[in-house]
Amino acid sequence: MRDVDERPNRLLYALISLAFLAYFFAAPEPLRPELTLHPVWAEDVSRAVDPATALEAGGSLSFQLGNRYGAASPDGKRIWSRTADFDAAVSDRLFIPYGRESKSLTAFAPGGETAFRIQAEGWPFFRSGRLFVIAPDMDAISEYSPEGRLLWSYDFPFKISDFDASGSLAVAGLLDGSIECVDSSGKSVFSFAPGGSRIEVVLGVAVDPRGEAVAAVCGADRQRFVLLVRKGGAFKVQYHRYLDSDYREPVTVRFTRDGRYVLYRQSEGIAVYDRETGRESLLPVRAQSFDLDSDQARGLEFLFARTSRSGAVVCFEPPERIIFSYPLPGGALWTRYLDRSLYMGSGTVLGRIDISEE
Amino acid sequence: MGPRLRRLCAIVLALAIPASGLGSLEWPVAGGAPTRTFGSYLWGRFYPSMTVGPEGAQVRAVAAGDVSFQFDGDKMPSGLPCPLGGFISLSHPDGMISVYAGMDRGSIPRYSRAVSAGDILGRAGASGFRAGRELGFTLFDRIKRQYLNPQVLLPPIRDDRAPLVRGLYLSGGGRILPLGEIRTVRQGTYELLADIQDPFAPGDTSLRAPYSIRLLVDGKETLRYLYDAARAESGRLRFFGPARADSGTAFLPDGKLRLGSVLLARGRTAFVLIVTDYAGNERETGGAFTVE
Repeated sequence: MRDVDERPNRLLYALISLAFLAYFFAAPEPLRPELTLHPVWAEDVSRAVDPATALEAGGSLSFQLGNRYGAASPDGKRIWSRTADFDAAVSDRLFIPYGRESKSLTAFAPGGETAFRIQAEGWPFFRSGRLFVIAPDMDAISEYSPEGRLLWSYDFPFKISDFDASGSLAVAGLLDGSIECVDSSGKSVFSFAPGGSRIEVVLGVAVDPRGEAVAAVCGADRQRFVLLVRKGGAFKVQYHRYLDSDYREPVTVRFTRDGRYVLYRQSEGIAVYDRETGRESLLPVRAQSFDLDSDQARGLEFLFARTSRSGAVVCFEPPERIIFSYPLPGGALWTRYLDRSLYMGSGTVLGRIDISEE
Repeated sequence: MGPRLRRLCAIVLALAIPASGLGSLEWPVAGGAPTRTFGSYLWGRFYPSMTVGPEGAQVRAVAAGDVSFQFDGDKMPSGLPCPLGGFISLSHPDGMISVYAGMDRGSIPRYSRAVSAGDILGRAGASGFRAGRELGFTLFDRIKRQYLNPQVLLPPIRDDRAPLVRGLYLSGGGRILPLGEIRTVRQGTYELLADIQDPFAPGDTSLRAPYSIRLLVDGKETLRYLYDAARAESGRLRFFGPARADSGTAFLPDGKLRLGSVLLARGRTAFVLIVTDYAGNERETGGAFTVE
């Protein structure tokens, strides 16, 4: 009886062993080195010092925490910060604090010296390193050179619901459901109304870094994701999909730095559309809004997800393979990935975490 | 104002309402009054919206519609500054869109979808690019892609005061001269400027624009501004009437309205400026001088 019982077990073990062997040889997937996070420094940036003595111009990391703005050296030893009356626009090269009803704007260099002043009513912001001012009624955009010279001003047909820019294009989504695209000299490139919904509105829009594609989430009842791609000098719809969502608020849309993937907020997570394969995936990350930074050498994307109370840094390999997720506190949250380091700020504390492969 | 012109104004207003597809609108603030109107000079250009007091008032839907977009803050999640502050956009039947801006933080109901006329949308407050707590209100025709003057479509407000022409000026050679002080000028091309306001009551300093402006030079109509609609064309906002004035260059930095250029030839020249408000009240002013 015993011998009879053991025979099927041996067969089963042999089959399982064969299956394992087959798996290892037939479905190999190289494991990437494990990423390890090393906290490097954390500093209270409210202990402001004079920018001129703290930093030489350049070589610094600009940051913004709520209405506090400033710059830090990568080693965290030299930091300056100031508070704006209301808010500030910050880039790597310029800081523009502004009040609620600013009639003129003063830009400061990283060393704290005045770079230029411009007479403009509106609120400044940067996109792809370009300086824009949005008009108080939110229906016009002006672009200024890094020296503060007015380059162009464009009155859009209606109020802007979202705006993005690459080095060569500026794209506005409007409350009437149209997408307006303007080139770097302020001339209209195209105007497009996606349509197909009972209620026309653009909830979020993005342009890829090369200016070759524009993506938007638009409409309500039914909501749509639309991707326009430049073909032969004109932008044409390459892909669209009706969504289950019913947002009536801003929806973040972002391209990865290489332009291959488009990410946009959905109720179950963040949808990832692959422009090369035409496939959509879902990152199971809940976020009301998010930002993206890329580590192209490692083929990784860093997604900074935010909800009203908390946040997270999610490192993933596109389209949807999550490498790690790191929770962040809520509050005024600032995040950036630069040279294999994560810089994060909340409240008045700024810190750096290095990411190494082991 | 002559009876014929008063009748003409009434006909224009009556025709404008059915043409818009919105038969009757309610004021976005109950018992409210506009403090800045469509076409007034604000933020360095033509203002295609209106502000409605009183400050901190409850804001109501002007007509039935659907919430198409709402935002409660001064910066969008994408980092785009939001100078409208807290705002809500309603999509109405027949392609109309109404936008209510400068809403108090936290006052906009988060999950509204369909609304009826008169439904409370929130409270006017201090948000966005404005120090006051008045509502910013905009009407837009999505099909014609143009801003509409809300005051043409909203129930009329009692107003028996004629618009005020605070100044009429002749500009040329780097000088701006009040028309009443001019006796003689050299022949050439000059620009006519005006400073116009529409008060509701004595001492009312609210910066309201009139409904129409007509300029007659030597009895011939040379300009007519009609504040009925405005439309962005090739990146420039233009307001209507035959003038199709560019909103960015229609005003001097001090708010004086450019009425256009006139070529003054030798002889006696007479100007008449006729300004009309929404209630049909009319102000006629002018002058004459000799061109050498």
